[in-house]
Amino acid sequence: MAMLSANDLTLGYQRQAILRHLSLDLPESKISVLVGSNGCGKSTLLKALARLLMPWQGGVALDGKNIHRQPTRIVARTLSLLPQHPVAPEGITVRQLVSLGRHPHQSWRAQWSEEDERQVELALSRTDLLGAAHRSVDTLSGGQRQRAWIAMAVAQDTPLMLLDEPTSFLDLAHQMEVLELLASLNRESSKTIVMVLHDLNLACRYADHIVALRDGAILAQGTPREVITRERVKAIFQLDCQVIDDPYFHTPLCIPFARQKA
Amino acid sequence: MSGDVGLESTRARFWVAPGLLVLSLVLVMSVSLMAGPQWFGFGKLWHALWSPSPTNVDDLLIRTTRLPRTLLAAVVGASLGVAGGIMQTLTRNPLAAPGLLGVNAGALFVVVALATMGGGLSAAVANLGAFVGAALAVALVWSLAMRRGPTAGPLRLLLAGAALTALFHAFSQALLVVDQQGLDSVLFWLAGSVAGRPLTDTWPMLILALVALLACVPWLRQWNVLAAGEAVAVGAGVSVRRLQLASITLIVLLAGASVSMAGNIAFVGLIVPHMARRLSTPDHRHWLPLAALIGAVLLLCADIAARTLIPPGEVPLGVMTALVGAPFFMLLVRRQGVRHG
Amino acid sequence: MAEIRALRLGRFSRAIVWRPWWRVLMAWVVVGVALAGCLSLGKIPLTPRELLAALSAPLSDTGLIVWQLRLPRTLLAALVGGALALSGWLLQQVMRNPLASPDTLGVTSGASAAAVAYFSLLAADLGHAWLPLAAAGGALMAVGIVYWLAWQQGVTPLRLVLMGIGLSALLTAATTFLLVSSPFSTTLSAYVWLTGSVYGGNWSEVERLSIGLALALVAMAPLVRYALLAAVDDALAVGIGVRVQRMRGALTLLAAVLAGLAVAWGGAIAFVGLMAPHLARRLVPVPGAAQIVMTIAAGATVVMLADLVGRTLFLPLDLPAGIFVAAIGAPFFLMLLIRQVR
Repeated sequence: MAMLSANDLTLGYQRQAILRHLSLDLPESKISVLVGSNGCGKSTLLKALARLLMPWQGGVALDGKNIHRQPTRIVARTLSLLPQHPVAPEGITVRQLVSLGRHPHQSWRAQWSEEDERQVELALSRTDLLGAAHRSVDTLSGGQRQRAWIAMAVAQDTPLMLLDEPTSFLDLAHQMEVLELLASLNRESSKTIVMVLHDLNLACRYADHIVALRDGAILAQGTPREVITRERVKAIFQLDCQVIDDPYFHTPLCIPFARQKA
Repeated sequence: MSGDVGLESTRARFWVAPGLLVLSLVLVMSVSLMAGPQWFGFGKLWHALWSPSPTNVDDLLIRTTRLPRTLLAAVVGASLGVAGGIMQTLTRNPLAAPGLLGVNAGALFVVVALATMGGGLSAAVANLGAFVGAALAVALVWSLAMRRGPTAGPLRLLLAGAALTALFHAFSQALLVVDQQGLDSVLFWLAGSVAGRPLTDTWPMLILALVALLACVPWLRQWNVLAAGEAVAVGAGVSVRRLQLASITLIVLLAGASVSMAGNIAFVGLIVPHMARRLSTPDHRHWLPLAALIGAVLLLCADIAARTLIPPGEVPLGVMTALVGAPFFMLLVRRQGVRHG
Repeated sequence: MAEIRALRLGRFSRAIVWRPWWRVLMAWVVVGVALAGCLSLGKIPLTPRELLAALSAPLSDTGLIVWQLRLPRTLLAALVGGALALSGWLLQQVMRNPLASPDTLGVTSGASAAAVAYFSLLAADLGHAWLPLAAAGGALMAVGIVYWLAWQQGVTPLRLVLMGIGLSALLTAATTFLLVSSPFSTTLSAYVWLTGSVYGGNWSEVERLSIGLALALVAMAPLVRYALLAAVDDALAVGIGVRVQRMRGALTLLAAVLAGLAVAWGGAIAFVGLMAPHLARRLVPVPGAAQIVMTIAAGATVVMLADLVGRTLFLPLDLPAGIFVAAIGAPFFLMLLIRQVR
């Protein structure tokens, strides 16, 4: 059970509202991707869903209960979060970092149970980091580091994972690697995955459900085929494009043209 | 300034602040000459300034103690205000100030070192030593904080400054504990003061500060460009390296001369530029001269307060400015607060 | 796999990383050697054999020197150093900045202002007995004010640092004013206190300081694992279910109490809080319990040795330990600043 939904959500920074009266139900055990142009509020929405931001109005419900009313540690057993540019403590090793993900399952008495150990090793092996587990996070390459963060979220062993641009700063091969990992987590452990992605075509390939945002409101949502059409892309990004069928994966493939003047 | 104000009123407002400031500077300077343990009227003052008699005690008092003190406060205030302004432009950081970068601590350290090493400490040597110490500290902090270019961020600069300040203070303390007689002679530097510094001692530094103030004029336009960012400045054909070097040199001259004349005076360099910008436009040609005026007026006011608040004693001037300045600094941090991650 | 060993007893479980503990053990051997050195050196130097004899006969002449003069003073130095080091380590975690120290939060300047005020206003009537209490109170009050001023829907590390700088300046100004306006003899004794020393440390002082520190450490036990989490950024910490503001507040309070107690009995010994954690990090790069214990050992050793140098190298002068902590700490810190290019 991991139902995440936003109801009449309004919030922002300082006095400026970013999201206005936004309601959203995220489908369970599916991969949902938030897309939209820069500044449309998709990262803000993800942060709000992860209880990092306090809503001004409305709320976020996890399994039907207000997320802010529940103890944060209990929420963390259901929902894990990978923020956009996480910072690792100096000198920490990969295994230590990944085991931080076990924090919500630990108490003062039990700080390294058998289950903790099992989940950490599992997360390391799934992210192909067993060989680098003893290394300091500072010494990793960009791709390895991103996988280490994902491993931390995996070790948290939550039915729901929120990821803010998990592929940023990665080259194409590493982007694919990360997305394949998430897809396999979704397939094998039927985890609900919600992420922000910038690459529309990769979003189409991996998403079951796409939520398109514009100016802090939902413009469209549904399967990639429903959402990513020529007219919709123009409405989301103010960009002319041609949408064709991907010859291999049969998902929509967007070929952008120059941005229309005026 | 808001854009909907008409041209006429903008121009009028543009001249109001400097005009008022010049007026108040004249006013405060004369009050500074009049006020003290003994109050002199305006007639006395006029007499002492323009037709002094060598035997009149009052004339002598005004000319040998009040006048140097007033001039000193005005020049030091102006220098610190401008030095702070340049510092803030150079680092593009509204929290930068010469004091936070170890100028005072560096000067204190050298003065203490000189005082404990040699027997007597002549005023000229102490002045020069303080100046060298200040220059040394700025050079050190700058080179440490800016090793990776000026993008290193405010925290690094502040911490490098705070750390070096602590370091120099520790050294000074060490020397003072070993040679306890030295303590009495350098308490003046510790506390900051413009009292009892005859013009015969301070004139080289006074002239140096005035020259440095004038030397800022040719750079004003380039600072405008620099304020928009390094890359922009390079794009606009400004030689950033040269500009940075010139700015640092000017800061060292202004702040160094100030600290060597008046000791440890906190926070003037930090606050004054903010006041100047608020009263003027973001154009350096407008607000930097204003900063000089405000600095002079403020320090004169502080000095008058320092010598009249607890007669017959004096509150040290540096303490006075810190007491007013630190709360202002903290207010500034709170204002910006939410933006800092 | 060999890296982490599990210790499990029923529901109780801990992960233990064995490797660094050898180095920690060595460090404590060094602490022991330093302690022995401090006990045997002084105006009357003792050979190891004489030291043993003195230790076993507390009422002999040398026994009195060792038991009543050198041992309490050395222990006081070790406790002060260890507490300041631990406080610095905690603050560096919480501030996520390797340059943070008890000074950054206003602990030292708060204690200094309170102590100097005590010297110039109260010492004549009350003697020096209440000085530690005044200093500790000043330190805690300063941190409290900094924290309160930095609070805007929670505190951020940067705001804490900036407020600390502001308040330190204010308190330093007040201290300076008191120094300048008091009689010269008061100024002198206050100045020596400001430099930091463990002059005339006696058993009752050691007792009181160690009781205070022990209480603080008991309070710390449930916080240790949060000390590691404090260095993780906020979003991530919330993601794994940490109440960030509460954790930050608790750890800051703990660090302030540790430093406040240490400063109260040892004066404003600069640099230990900054330096010892860095030394420890060099020796035990992986953050964790081993690093914490190493930090304490490093701080204790540095202050003990600084005090030893201060009272033996310039005989008959007895110089404050703070000077030599600075003399060792300053070059080290400069090196650190130069190296810290990240």
